[in-house]
Amino acid sequence: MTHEEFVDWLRDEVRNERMSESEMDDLLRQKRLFDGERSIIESEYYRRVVGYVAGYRRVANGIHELIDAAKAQFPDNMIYFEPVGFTLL
Amino acid sequence: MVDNLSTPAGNSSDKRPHQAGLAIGTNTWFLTSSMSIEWMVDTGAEIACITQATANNFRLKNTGGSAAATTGGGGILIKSGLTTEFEVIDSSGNCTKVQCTLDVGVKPNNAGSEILGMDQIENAKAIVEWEPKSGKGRLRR
Repeated sequence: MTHEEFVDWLRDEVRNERMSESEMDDLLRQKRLFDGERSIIESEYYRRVVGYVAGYRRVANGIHELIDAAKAQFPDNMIYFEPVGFTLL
Repeated sequence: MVDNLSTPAGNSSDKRPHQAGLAIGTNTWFLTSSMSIEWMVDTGAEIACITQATANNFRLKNTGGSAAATTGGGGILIKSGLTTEFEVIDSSGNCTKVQCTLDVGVKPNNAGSEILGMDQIENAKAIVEWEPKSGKGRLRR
C-alpha cells in the first residue's frame, strides 16, 4: 500500500467516524518518523517488528509484544509499525 | 475423534481450514452485540484479521496501523474491543467455546476471509490439526 493509499484509508476512517482526526494525525506523524529512518531500520532489525509511538522507536519480536509495550507506556498514542523482512499474514 | 474444522461452507474444493464462530463487541448503540463469523484458521497469520465490513459492526478503539504488514504489501489497522469466539476440543474430547480479547487487525477492504491467527490459537492454548485431503480437522488442546 502506497503512502497515498494509506492516507486515503485513514481519511476514510475519519470520515466514517471510526477514527478521530487526532488519531490519524498521530499515526501519520509516527509513519513519517519511520519512513525517515527506513533504511537504518531495514538494515538493523531484520525479522523484528519495529514501530514508532509518541516519537520513540520501539522494537519487538512480535506484533502483540510491540503493541502491549506501546500501550503500557503510551496508552493514548497510536503506534505505526512494520514487520521487517516478513509479513504478519 | 470429533472434528471442528472443515472446508468453508458451500465450497468443499477450498482446502483451507474453517470454523463457524462469533465476533463479539459493542455496537453503535453501545450495546453488546455478536455476529456469526466463518473463521479461516491461518497458520501463516501472526495476528487475527477481520474485514472492514465486520469491523464496521462494532465500536473499536484504534491502537495503531501499518501500510506494509501483509503479503503483497497491504496495510492493516490494529484495533481493540473485539472478542473472538471459537471452539476447541479439550483433552477429554469435549467441545468448549473459548473467547479471546487480543487486539485484531482490520483490513482496508472486504477481500478474503476473516482470519483467526496463531495469536488467538496460542492464547487458547490450542493446536491445529488439519487434513486437506479429507477437508476435516481439529482445534484441540
